[in-house]
Parts: sequence; structure tokens; C-alpha cells
Amino acid sequence: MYGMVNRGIRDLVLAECGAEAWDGICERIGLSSTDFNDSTNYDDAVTYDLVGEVSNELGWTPEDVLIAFGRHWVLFTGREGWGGLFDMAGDDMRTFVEGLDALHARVQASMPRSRMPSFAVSDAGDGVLDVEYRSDRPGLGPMVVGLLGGLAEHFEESWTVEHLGRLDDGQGEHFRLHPSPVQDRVDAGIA
Amino acid sequence: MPASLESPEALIARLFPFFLLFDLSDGDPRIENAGDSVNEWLAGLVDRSAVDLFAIVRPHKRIVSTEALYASVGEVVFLEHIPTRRRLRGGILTWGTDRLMFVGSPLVTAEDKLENLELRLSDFAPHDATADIVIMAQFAKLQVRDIERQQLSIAQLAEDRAELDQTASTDPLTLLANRRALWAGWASVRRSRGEDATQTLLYIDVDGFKQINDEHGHHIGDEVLKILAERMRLGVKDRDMVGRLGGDEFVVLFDRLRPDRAAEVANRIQALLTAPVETSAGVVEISASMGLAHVQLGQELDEAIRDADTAMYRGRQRGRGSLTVFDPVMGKEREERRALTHDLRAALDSGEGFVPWFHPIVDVGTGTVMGFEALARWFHPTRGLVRPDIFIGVAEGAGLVDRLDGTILKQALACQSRWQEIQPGLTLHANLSGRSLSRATAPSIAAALDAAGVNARDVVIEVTESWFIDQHRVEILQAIADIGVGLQLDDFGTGYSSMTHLQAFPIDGLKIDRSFVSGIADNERDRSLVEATISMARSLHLDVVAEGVETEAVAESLNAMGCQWAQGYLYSRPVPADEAAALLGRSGLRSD
Ligand code: HEM
Repeated sequence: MYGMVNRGIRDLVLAECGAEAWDGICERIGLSSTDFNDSTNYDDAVTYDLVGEVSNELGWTPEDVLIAFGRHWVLFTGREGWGGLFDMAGDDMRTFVEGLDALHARVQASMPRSRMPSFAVSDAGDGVLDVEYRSDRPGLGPMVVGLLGGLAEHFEESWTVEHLGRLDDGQGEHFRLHPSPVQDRVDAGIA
Repeated sequence: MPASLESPEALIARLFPFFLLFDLSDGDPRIENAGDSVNEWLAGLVDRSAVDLFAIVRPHKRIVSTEALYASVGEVVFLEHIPTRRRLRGGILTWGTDRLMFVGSPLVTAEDKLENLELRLSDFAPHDATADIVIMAQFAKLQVRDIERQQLSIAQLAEDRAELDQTASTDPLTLLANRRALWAGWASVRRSRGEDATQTLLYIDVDGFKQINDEHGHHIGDEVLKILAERMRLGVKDRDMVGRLGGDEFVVLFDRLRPDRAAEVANRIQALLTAPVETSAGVVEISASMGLAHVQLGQELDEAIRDADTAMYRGRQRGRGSLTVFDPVMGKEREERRALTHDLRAALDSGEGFVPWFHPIVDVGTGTVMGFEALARWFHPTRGLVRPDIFIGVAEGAGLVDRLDGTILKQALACQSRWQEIQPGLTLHANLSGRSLSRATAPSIAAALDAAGVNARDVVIEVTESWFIDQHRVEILQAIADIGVGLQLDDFGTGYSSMTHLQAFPIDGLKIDRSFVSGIADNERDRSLVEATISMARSLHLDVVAEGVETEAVAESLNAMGCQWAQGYLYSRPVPADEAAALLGRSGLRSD
């Protein structure tokens, strides 16, 4: 994956526990440099190794690492440099997620070696949204939970993200976005 | 709705969200329809006259008129929305009769920020590359950032490296070059100028630095070194290299300094260094001894430094604050010295080579042997007998005098203990070099006396006069006197001591230097000087020995002056132990 993804993980670790921890992580997985080029394509193994080692370091499950990373990416790393694109992609959660494929497709024009995911949104009634995420990469479902959660924060909308597991066709993961009651939003410190 | 069933206008609208349809049937062009995106972006276009709203800015600036629009068909045109100054870029097509259609996109350059244009990705048709331009521009920025970050880390790396080099090559106290840097500097000058070129090198050694440390403490010593280092740096050109070899030793490698200018530059540095140094403990007076050497770059730096050091050392022997230029003769002497030092140490280690010879001290009146002065002699395995003035200097330079004095004293005491059985009351005079005297001296003399079974009363320790200048040493002498041995001032008259000065010391005798004694028979001045000394000594209850007595006339004069003891070639030269034993109990002693 492109370096911006790995750098997102780095930023998360730096924010959570500092440079020393990050250096240790890089050393343990054998990275020669402790920084990433946003515009360089790295082997996916680097990303997976990182997630594994960060999970060891922070004592979090890999799923939690991915969730935290997804949220961090939307709220911080991704905004850096791509802020304009974020703003162009939509003014609300639904439009944004609906437009994600178009966004990734456009981004892919600049990053020819990327393999972009695909998102489809549909109404599930009662304001609930069904999100289907498709990708040829396994195991990134939790990251989408974090990404969607981060997006909700970004738009200051309150959604609860439910991960329903793999899609029937086995090509991706199934999520459900529930509009949260106001009380939940107060609890979450959003409203 | 399947695309095939869409109306042509709907299809156009989907493909070109920024289209404008002009109706020209009425004379002035009127906007009949517009794409969703452009209609929202520029607000309220439909059914308005195009003349007020748009201007053509490319290919030629002109007002929008039916004529102008027709003239632009088939060309790339830029339309400017007059109220907002936003621009569209596209082409004009004929659309049935009396209608023209503009299809295009917002004009966006890489510098533009699409977000400032208040457009969404969804405003653009999928094939519209306008959004891609923005994304590519953002991506390009990302790449630039990557490069900058890399450069930053490269710059950081270079900085770290430089810092590392710096610490590895500077002396942490003075921030001057350290040994490593000096050696590297030498090698690089040699590379650039060739082995045959010559280089001027100045060796600087702070005089009496140890005393500064002892008196004021090391932190003040460090302060002094820092200030001196700064002055040295001020005294040379930037391209000259000033380094600290360690302790109070510094070296300057001059860059292409003409040998005939070197002394001038060195003197300038000397002048800078000798200004009083203000430390936190007050002002400290400083002087430095310097050695200059003009050396070939083909030499190793250590050799070059050694030459300059040798010159410095030579100069310092004559006094502080000297500047001495190295001469190859000094190099030979140095080699000689080094070989002798090596052999001297070996002789002391093996206990072979050094023996005491004995110079009789006689009663002037009777010529009876009253005692002996033990003198060190060195029988070198290959050189034979080495002159005392040479080996004592070497021993002093190598810090071996105390061992030398010790081995002579020990052997002499062994003789003394045997001889006392033959002539009770015989005294042994032993020399101790001022340089070897310390708090450890008294205990070691006591131990040697014990070991030999000699009574302290029968031993006199001779110490040279020049050593007495320092009042601090009273304690050391007192400790020696407390053992019960006699203390005698050697070479009296050559130093600075006055009689009153002597009263401060626990001495009980003095030896008048040969340079005065030999002249008393025919030199009035010498005679009155010696006479005065003798009478003063008597009033202070000091024993007096006159040394250097070579003639009967001198002996008679001394006798007449009331001098009791004498020593000199008239009686005997210094002799080995067996010959000395033969002199015991003899009176009327004269050389053969
Ligand atoms: C400006 C916004 C965004 C940009 C520029 C962007 C760009 C990218 C890039 C470059 C990759 C790496 C693909 C590769 O290297 O092969 C990627 C992956 C991914 N993106 Fe985005 N993205 C953006 C927003 C989002 C958002 C808001 C989501 C939220 C759901 C999202 C979901 C994903 C996922 C899940 C992947 C993992 C790849 C995979 O599943 O195979 N992205 N994105």
C-alpha cells in the first residue's frame, strides 16, 4: 500500500506513545527507515507487520489497532495534504461514502499501483445505512469501522458503526450505520 | 433510466454538468438551459441574457454576441462569468438551428484549489479530467513533501554526522582540535602539499601549570586552559590549526608560514598568553615555554611534535617563557638522552652499575679523615664511567633521582656501618637532590639507617642551596632533621640564601662552594666573603666545610680563618669504597 497508509499508522503510534516506541517497532520488524514516503508504494506485508507489531507494543488487539488507525487516518493523517479532496468529496456522511469509489478512482489516477477498495451504500430503512465494502485485501474490516467512525466525527454526525461480518459473496465486509439517539451523542461527547 | 431512453439533453447534462445552451433566435444570446453543476456554481443562469453574464476571454477577448459565439465554433474558448470572475473552459457546438451549446468544465489550474471553487467531485462527469487535475496537483504536493522530508532527514543526517565528527575531533575542554584531528590535519596537508614540503609547528607548554592546579584546584586549571586556548586561536590565522595534545600541552600547525616569519608569530602568541588570566579564583600569572620546529611533511607528526617539544624543553631549562627553535643537534642529544634514560632505569632495576664513591672530608688542621661524602658513580656496561652531571640530569628528567639517591645512600650506609667499627665517629655525607625530597623522604632515610644499623648522628644529609628558596619545604626538612641526622646546605654562596633566611631552616651546617674557596689565597674579595661566611656560621653554631681545596695555600688560609673541615683534591679525589677504607684513621692526608 502507498506510504500514506503506513504513515497513518506511524502518526497514530507517535501520538499514542512517542518516538521511542515507534523506533522500537520499526527495528523489530526490520524497517531501515522509521518514516514513509506518502507517494511510494510499499509491500502490503509492511502494513500488516506494522499492525501486528503495534498491537504487541500497545498491548491492543490487532482489530483495535486497525480501528484506531482508521479513525486517526480520517481525522488527522488523511487531512494532511488531502484536505481539499476531503472537502470536495461530500458535505455529509452519506454523500461522502457514496462518493468514495469516485474519490478512490480519481486518486488512483495519481497512484497507479494502488488497489482501491469499493463501497456501496443503500438504505436499510429507519435511517439505517447499509455499507458494503469490497477489497481483495483480507482483514481490513476493523479499519473500515474506524474510518467510518472517523468520518462521522469529521462531519459531526452521530452514527454507530456495526460490523456485520463478511459479505455473502466473500468479497468483502458488511457494515451498518445506525443513526445514534441524541443521548448517545451526548455520552460520546459529540453533541 | 437506461441511457438509451434518456433525452439527448439529459444525456448531455449527465456527460457535461457544466454545459450552457444558448438561444440565438432573439438577436442577443439568451441562456436557455444549463447543466446542474454550472447552474449551481454560478447561480441563476437560465433564462438570462448571456451578454451581461459572460465574456469570451480566449481565443480573443470579446463581448458575448451571436456573432462572437458563431465565430468561436470549433475552437477552445474560455468563458468568464462576469459577476464571479469564475471561468469555464470548453468548446462551442451547433445545436439545431438558432442554438449553440457550450460544453466544458470549470477552468482549473494546478494552482487553484478546487475547494475554493466550492465544487464537489460529484459535480464532474466521470470522464472530466478537471477533478483529476486537482487530485494530481495534491499528489504532486505530496511528492514534494516526501522529497522535502527526505532532504530534511538527509540534512539532519549530515548535521548529525558533522556533529559527531566535531566531537570526535575536538578537545571537549578547550574545543581545540584533539590529537585525532591534528593527525588527520597533518595527513591531509601532506596529501595536498606533498611529503617534501615543510611545515612549521609550534609546541606550547604552560609553565608551572601543575602548581596552578595544586594551588587553586583543577577547575581553575581548566578555566586557565580554556582562556589560553582562546588566546591561541586569536593569535593565529583561521587556516592554522591549534590543537591540545593533553594536559597543558598545545600545538599549532601553521598553514604555509614562512620559516623566517615563524618566530614573530610565535612571539605574538607568547605575548597573548602571558597576559594575566582572570579566573573565578582571581588573577593568575601565566607564562608558557615554546618550541618551534620546521619539519618536512614526510615526517610523522609525532616526530615533528617531538622536535618542537625538545626545543621547548631546552629553552625551559634556561627559564620560563622561552621560545626556542629546534636545531638538529638537539635531536641528537635527545636521542642520546633517551638511550641513557633507558639504560639508567635498567641499571636501577638490576641494582648494578651505580655505586657510591667516597670523597674524604678532613680536619683542616690535622689532615685527619673525619668523614666521607658519598658521590654517585655510574659504570655503564658499554660507555664506561658516565659523568655525574650527565646522568643526574637524565635521572631528574625521568623522575628517577629519588631511586638513584636511595640506592647510593643504601650502599654508602653499608660501608659506613663497617667503617665505624674501625673509626668511631666517622660521618657520612649523602646528597639528596632537591627534586626527590618529599614527605616520604624522612621515613625512607630512617628505614635505611635502621637497615644498615647506622646511628643518625653519624649521617649528614646535604641539600643544595637553590632548593631552600621555597619556604613551604621547611616541613619536609624539619621531618628529616627530626630523625636526628645532620642537615647541611650544599654549594653555599651560589644560590640566593642569606644568613637570616637560613635561620628559618633546621640546618646545622653549610658547605662553601668551590668557586669561592679556590680563590681565597690570592683573591681578596673571595677571601673576605669566605671569612665572613665562616664567622657568621660560627655565630649561628653552624658547621662549615670548605670544598674545592686544591692547594696548601688555600688549606693554610682556611686554617687561619678557623674553618674546621675541608674537602678537595689536595687531600684526595673521590675514591671507591676499598680505597676509602684504606684512608681511615690516617692523618696528614695528602693526594699522592
Ligand atoms: C481524501 C481521502 C482519501 C484518500 C486520498 C484515500 C486514498 C487511499 C489510498 C491511496 C489507499 C491505498 C491503496 C493502495 O495503496 O493500494 C486507500 C486505501 C483504502 N481506503 Fe482510502 N482514501 C481516502 C479516504 C477514504 C475513506 C474516507 C475511507 C473510508 C471508508 C477509505 C477507505 C479505504 C480502505 C478501506 C482502504 C484499504 C485498501 C483495501 O481495502 O484494499 N478511504 N485509500
